[in-house]
Amino acid sequence: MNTRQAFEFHGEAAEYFRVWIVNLFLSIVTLGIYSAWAKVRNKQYFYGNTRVAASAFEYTAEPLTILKGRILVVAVLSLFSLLAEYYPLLDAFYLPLILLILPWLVLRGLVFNARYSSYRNLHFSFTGKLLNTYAVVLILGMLTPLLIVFSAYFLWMGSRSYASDMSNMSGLVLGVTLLLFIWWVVASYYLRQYYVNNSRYGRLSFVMLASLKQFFIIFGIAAVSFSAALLLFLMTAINTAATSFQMGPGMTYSISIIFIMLLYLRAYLKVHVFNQVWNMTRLTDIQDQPPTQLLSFSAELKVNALFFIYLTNIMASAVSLGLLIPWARVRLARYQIERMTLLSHGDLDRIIADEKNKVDSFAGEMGDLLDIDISL
Amino acid sequence: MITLQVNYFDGQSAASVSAELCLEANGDCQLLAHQLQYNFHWSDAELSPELAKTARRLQLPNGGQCEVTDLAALHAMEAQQQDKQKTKGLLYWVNCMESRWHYVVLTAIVVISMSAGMIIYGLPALSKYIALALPVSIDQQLSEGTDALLESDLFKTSEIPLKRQQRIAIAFTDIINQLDDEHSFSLVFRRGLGANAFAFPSGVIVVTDGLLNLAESDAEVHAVLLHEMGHVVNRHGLRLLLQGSVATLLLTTITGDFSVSAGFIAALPMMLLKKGYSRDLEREADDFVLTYLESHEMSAKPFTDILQRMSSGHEEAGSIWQYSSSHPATDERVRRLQQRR
Repeated sequence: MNTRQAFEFHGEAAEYFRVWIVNLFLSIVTLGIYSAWAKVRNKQYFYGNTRVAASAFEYTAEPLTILKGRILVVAVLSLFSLLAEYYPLLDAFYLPLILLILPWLVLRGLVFNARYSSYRNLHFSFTGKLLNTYAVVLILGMLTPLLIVFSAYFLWMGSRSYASDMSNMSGLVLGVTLLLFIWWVVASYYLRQYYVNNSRYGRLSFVMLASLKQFFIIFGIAAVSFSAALLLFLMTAINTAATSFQMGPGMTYSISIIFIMLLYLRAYLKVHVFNQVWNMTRLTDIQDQPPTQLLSFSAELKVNALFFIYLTNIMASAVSLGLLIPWARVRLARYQIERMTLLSHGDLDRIIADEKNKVDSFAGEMGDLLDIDISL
Repeated sequence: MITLQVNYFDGQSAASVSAELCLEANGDCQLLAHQLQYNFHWSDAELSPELAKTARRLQLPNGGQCEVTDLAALHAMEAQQQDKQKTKGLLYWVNCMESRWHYVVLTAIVVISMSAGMIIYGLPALSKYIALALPVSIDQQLSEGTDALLESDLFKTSEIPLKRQQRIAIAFTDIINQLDDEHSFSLVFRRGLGANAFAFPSGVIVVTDGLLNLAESDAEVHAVLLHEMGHVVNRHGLRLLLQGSVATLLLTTITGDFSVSAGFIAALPMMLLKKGYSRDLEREADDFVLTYLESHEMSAKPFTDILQRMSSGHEEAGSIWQYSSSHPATDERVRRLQQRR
């Protein structure tokens, strides 16, 4: 029994505008205290208007828990900067300490967010381990690019004492660019894999089957065509008007063109990564022997359509001084959600709650300390 | 008795069961579905707050949940049981605000005027208060790199005769001694960057040969130097930095995300805003000149003269570009200076 069910989005711009402006108003009037409630209400609006198989999603977090988490973060940060006033040496530990805490915060945020997202009265959960989080977020995500850049810097400093050879220099730049590109692809891949593979719905586990090779193809095409387009534009721009790179209308024009190219690159990557990840994600019951595949997805975003939405959203938000932000958000959410389909291979009723996860209230006590979204 | 069609989720599986919920006047509830009958009391169940047209959820004591899409019928149930309920929650009132247009318009007006007020008046006042409370040594740190800049290719050594340089420097020291300010002022003569004078937060003031050649009297030069001292004394460098960074922070929190596109959304208004702040500070520095000249019973004419001479040729007054400029239009400045007299 295979069924296809389209995801639906029922939010409307005018309706969301009212939720959004009241959220802003109350947050301002209460000097930010209401922002925890605002966050919950905002999320509930988008979750509650996203429906599939005749049921909506639900966000069930308690604003008070979020508020406590936020107060805790602010308190710790203020305490530390206060201590740094008296012990200036602490300043040197500030950045490493934040780097060290960040993966833990990321994990807590993901656990919290999943725990309080539910569908049909069954909640999602996130089972990432702390060690794994450090490997992905700290080592792969933050330390590797620093290592690449620093080692390149020392190599350059070292070679400068010998003959300063231009071909040597460009070789180094090329090498670093290539290494950073490889890091970019690998990190993007493993971050998503970490996110998807540790997510659960009831007793079902999400499994991402997309391969690193497919990521390399997507990012490779994007990088090559973007560099080619940029080079082409810079060459024509320099040829047509050598002086246009002075401050003035010429400069504004060049920056806008490059910005539009960057936006297109962003839409291209978003669409292909999103489609790839969702199309290759399965929900399986690993406690069945052999594991049964119950659900999969079909995502069909289009690059040009998404680019157009990005571009018009940005222009509308800027021209309206932010008042059209609700319209832009609803529009983007509708497009992304309505291009998705849920494929069930079997009965949804067979999905059952995970008894082991049911008792886990640790996340609830910790609260969501940071707003972290790993956007797919 | 009120009945309601709901979807029932038992909390054990993702199965969706269509059921009927019956509520008696005394609060007794019964959930009925195929092979299912469950009795509970209305006050033991928890109803999710109303939010736009999204489905509401009744969390039952047994861990099950009813998803209700028939909001009108649910309202009737709530109305019937109202007198038995304690108090209406905060989110009830939030929903009232959201669902009535006149409240929405009111909140929008408040949000817009408060943000505008904060940006136009609040932030400048706040950063002035903070900047004046901070020690002068911070201005020193802000001006790191001053020496390197002055020795860079941007400038060449001045060709103004030493006699004149000394005369101006003596007048400069005279003014400083009257100011009673903690900054350690110094005057630097350089060639380059047209007819110009500018100040670093630390108190280093640079005048270019172009400006000195343009000036027709020493009084004009003194007025320009006073204007630059006004920037230093009133901590304009620090204030601009504070205002700018707080405004950026506010704008990005309001737009809600730190993504690339949000940065671009904020870029243009941010630029106009910072130029606006800068124009306000120019006016403040002009006022500083006036106050000094008035207290010494000197005329403001040399100042307006040199301002007009500096601007003639490269400024279109009253054009839209004045909003993208860091200085107010010269006409406006001169008019202000003349009116204050």
